[in-house]
Amino acid sequence: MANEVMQETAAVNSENNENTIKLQKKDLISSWFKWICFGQTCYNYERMQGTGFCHSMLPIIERLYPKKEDRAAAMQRHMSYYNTENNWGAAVGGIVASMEEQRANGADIDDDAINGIKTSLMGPLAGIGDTVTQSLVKTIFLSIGCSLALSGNVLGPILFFIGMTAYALGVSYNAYFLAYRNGKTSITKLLRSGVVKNVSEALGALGMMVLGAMVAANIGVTTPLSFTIGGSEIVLQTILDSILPQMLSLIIFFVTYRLVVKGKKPTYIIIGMFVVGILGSVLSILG
Amino acid sequence: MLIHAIIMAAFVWCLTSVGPMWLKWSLHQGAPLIAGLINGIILGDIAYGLTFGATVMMVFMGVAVIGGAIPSDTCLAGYVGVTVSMMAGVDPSMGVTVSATLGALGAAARPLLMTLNSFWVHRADKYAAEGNTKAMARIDVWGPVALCFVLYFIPSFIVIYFGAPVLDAIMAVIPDWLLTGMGVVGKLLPALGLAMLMQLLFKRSLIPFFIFGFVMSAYLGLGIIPIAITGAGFALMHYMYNAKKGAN
Repeated sequence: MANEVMQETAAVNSENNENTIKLQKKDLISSWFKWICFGQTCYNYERMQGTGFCHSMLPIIERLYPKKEDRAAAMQRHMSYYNTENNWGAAVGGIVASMEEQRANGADIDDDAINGIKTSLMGPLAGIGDTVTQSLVKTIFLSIGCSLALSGNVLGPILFFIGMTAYALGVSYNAYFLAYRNGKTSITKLLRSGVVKNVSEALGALGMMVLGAMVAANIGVTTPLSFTIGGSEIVLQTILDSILPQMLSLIIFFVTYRLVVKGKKPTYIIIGMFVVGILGSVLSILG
Repeated sequence: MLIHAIIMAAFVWCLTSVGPMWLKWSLHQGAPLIAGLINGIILGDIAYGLTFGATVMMVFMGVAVIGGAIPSDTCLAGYVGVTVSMMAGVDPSMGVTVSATLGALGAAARPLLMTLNSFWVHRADKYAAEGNTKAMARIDVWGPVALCFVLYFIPSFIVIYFGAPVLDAIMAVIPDWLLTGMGVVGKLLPALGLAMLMQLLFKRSLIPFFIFGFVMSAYLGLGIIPIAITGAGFALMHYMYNAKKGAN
């Protein structure tokens, strides 16, 4: 009972009681920024982002624990194995910062509670983050960037750069502060509700549409084959175009896709493309 | 040439170590596209750089870095592969080959880096036990920086500086029929990147959107921006439909 009250009112207490220590906005911003800069600098097999996480907690630790032995204990606590997605995973830092704040003010939160939060949230957040960031957002920005660049537009790489940077900073900042303010419940609620799943589906729709457009616009293989039947010349490419423009591109795409789905190594597919491309060109089948 | 090689090797050095994580999403994972632009600016031919970067990028697009397991190093493919090929002035399709090879070779350095980085962790453990926050922050950043200088900067510099003339010499003796064939290969290769993307995105319920995108581009000849905006509209519709279905 006493613990619960203490946890819930830690924030209120800190305003009333002069002895309590409260994290300042600049500590939190510094902690978030250290995470989003250095979280993965010392990426290693032993602890993955462990030192990166500890690094991000340093501004919090410096504010909350003036005594050296408390600092040492806190730093050691955050050196454990840790691995999550950079942007969405920033939420864990926010939660841990608020837990450390309550702990420094006397709440009964032990090492196990903090480690438990870290290990229980890092996996699910990495799952969401990898799907949304890697296969959806990155894909969409990259597709747009590449398409523009291929048409000679210098905005291609620039838009991609701005888009991904804004995404990384925006998502991580909001995740960190949302989690700091609302605690664990806000994150578990988000994980449990279907919102993330629906958003991924929706982004997937956009991604597939851009992908369809790229297949039509960016493969562009044609055939120079032509036949002379009854005195009139028939150009195969013209016939193909009248049925379905970019038909060859679509066929090549689906053949490659089948190979990828069957688990053929990209290296072998590249070698295969060299053989097909060079042979096709020498035999005047492809151009 | 010397400064050019140093700049590009420095990109690799920073992005494998201290480069801020929020910049890595574009500069590391989109390395070929970005490297194409930077090289284009340095070499004074931006159009060449844009085409070159985008062609190589298309092949690497499907190479997702899920869970830290990288089949090929996009960063090296970009800043080393694209740079070497553009310095030698080769065709983008040839550049894809060079980049893919260097990317695959470079991927071998990654496990080495992640193993050796553990050394700094033990130093960090020591500082943590002392409660020394400053030393801890220092080792977390400068340890990997020093390691990546040896592991990434030096090899990248050597490959760029000495590789470009070699590639140039090779290109001079390649017969015409092979160059034409390479042009066709260059058109085929994006299919691989796109197929790998499809593998990531594929869901039965999303097939209609692929068809919409294809038709808008192939028949209507629309550019990527109008298609992406229409796609955003469809995405919104898909989201609202799914949210409603979930609520019922």
